[in-house]
Amino acid sequence: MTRWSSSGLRRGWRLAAPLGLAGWLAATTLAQHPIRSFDRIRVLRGRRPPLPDWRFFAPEPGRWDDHVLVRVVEADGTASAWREVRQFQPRRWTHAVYFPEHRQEKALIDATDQLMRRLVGPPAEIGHTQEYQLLRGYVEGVVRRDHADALPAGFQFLLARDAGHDDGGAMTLRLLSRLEDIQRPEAEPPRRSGSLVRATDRRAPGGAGHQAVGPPRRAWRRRAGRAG
Amino acid sequence: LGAVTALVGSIEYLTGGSQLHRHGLNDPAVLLGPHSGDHAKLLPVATRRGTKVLHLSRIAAAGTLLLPTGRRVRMVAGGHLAASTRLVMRLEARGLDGSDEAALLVHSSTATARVADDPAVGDAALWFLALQSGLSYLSAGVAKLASPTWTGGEALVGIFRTQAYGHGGLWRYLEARPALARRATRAVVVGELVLPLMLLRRHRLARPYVALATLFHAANGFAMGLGRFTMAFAGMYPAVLYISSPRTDERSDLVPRAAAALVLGGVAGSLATAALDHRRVARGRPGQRRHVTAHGSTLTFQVDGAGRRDGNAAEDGPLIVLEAGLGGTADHWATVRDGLVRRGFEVLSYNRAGYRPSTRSPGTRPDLHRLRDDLVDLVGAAAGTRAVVLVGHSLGGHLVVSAADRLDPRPLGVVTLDASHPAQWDRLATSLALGGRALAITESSLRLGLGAGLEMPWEVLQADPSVRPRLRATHRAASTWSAVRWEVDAMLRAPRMAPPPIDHLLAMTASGTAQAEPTQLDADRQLAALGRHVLVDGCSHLGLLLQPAAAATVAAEIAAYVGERRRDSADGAGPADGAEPADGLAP
Repeated sequence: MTRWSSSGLRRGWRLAAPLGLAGWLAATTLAQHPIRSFDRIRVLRGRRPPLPDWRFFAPEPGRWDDHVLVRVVEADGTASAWREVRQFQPRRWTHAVYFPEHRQEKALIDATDQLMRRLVGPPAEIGHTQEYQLLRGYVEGVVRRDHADALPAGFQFLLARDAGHDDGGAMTLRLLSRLEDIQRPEAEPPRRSGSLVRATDRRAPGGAGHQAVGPPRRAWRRRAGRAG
Repeated sequence: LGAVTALVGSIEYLTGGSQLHRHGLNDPAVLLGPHSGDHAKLLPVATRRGTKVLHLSRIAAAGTLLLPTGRRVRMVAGGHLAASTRLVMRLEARGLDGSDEAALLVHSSTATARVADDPAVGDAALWFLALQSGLSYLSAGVAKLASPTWTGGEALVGIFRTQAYGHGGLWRYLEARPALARRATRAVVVGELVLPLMLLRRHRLARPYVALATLFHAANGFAMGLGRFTMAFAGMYPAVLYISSPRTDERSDLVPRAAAALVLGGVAGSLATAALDHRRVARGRPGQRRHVTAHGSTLTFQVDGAGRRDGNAAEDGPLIVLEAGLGGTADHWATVRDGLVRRGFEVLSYNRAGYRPSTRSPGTRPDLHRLRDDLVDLVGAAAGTRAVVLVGHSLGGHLVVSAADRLDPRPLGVVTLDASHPAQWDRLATSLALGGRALAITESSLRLGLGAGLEMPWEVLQADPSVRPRLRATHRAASTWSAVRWEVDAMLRAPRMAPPPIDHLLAMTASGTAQAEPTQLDADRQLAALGRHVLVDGCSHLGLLLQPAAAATVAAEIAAYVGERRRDSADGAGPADGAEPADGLAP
């Protein structure tokens, strides 16, 4: 038995630890309301206490896959075909014990989800928000990796949703980014053009009403090669 | 088991799972920017090297716990795992899942127990973990009951269809066998509800509980790629087995009792808040008046700026009538109303039937015509032959457009703010097909006094401080949600048709709405085809009324519009002349 354990600290810990754990358990219980509008306890004075969310795939489970696609744009305005920045890993039995790629997949799902939620939050120039900047930076990293020998002038990305393994499912365009410059250390402040387009109808990218970047506009390829 | 979870988790981060780097999805350069707040304190570890050192140290700590070592060494290693798990969760916020949360509980509670070699603290930690384990399945099962996708049996096929969490082979198998898919989906819900009940008979059923739960997670690991969950949740099962052993006098059961007391205390506090809210909502605004309409609705209303009148209506300016949107009341108009009153206008605001203290006659079938008729009735009683300008927000926008040709004399002008439109109603119908149960559950929860847990729309927190308490109370009142359900039902029954343009109509759109729902902008421009359209910058749908700057802009625009209409009227154009019947409700 350690020296401190026989002191007042030990008695204090004997009471404080169970009460602290009981408080944590009680708060976790109160934070599991089926309707997420009742999640006020999850944000206290701007901070998020570590309360587990046990409402897995509920109340509404995700039944669609979110995708991030990118096309690069050269200085003369020509644009490449859209490519997926990261494709989901086909399921393997080893994923039951070891699946590092799922961290990246989940991070991308979280990032796109947060960006879409930000659109209905307090109004802001969406391109200046942290959510947009994180995704923009990630996509730029993919472009830099794939075009390391000759960086393009810029890129544009879009968020889309489909029905996963159901190849007959239609693709829904959710957000089209503005045209982004590749940031270079010595470059002047980035020159951006265009604006964000929020789409709510089901159509393939490149259709009417979307921001034109420049010819040629190639056919949409759902199973584009992985770029990340 | 907790140590194995940490070990595998850190190896995954080191072999490409981390996004804590430049161009990563947890890029510190973005997250630790000028608005990062306390995140800046984490800067020293938010580097590639810092992350590598952190995860190597976690691997070492996990390895230590897997070896036979002394209590003090285990205390340090366990404490490091607990603290570093929390740190990793803050740094790698995008990419976390439930296994990380389970691991945090395991590491934190075992570290708490190891601090002192005290059986009472050990018992507390084990009770905590066992009950968290039961709560995890119970919460997942109860939340699924709220969704027709789960109770209708469609969820599993939908989940397995995805590439993110699904399995192509299983999806095709279940897709071809819908009856089996429905049974399997409901079995998941029932299983998650039954598992925690087994803890009530834990002396006999603890081992089956552990076996079934392990099987469940193993299946998820194989089919959904959620292998980390198996280890993380299994870390709680030894605690389940411990609390299932026969109680001895030495075992401390303080945690379940204290937790139950705290939950009950929280609910009691919420009930007290609900009682105060109810009083505040039922009391209404000081100086309000009542009007009983032909449909039997008792409407509470107030006319502000009335002190300026000398009783000679013919010499007065028009009466401006404010109609709120879905879930809105007269209080939502406070800033706009004050802005108009300051400019010398007389303004009528009221609560629609159902929004306390206004009431509707019991058993009234949901029907938007009644809301329109109530508005016409109230305006007729309050304004008589005096000129009026109708202003409506959201659903209120649709109502004022619908009521315009029913008023005699015709209104001098009509103003809409983000008015409801047919495309929006179609989306509402689609979303309610999935989440319609949510409205009923929300109302029931508020009746049970759980309103203190309800999040406030951010706009309410920016509203005029004088009405903020009543806005909060209104949002948390079960009666408000009952009225919302009635009106949503009425909207879904109404025919989907766009009202024709009204002469001189002023339509305003919030920039936030235009960004999130571009169809709103199109609809408002169409509505104002024979009038004028204004885009209000920097505000959301509700912010048009509650964000101070936006509400001031709205008041100024309305005041300018009323001035124009009065000049036009004096020039002989007449109020809303040429307006065609604008009833989008008429069958």
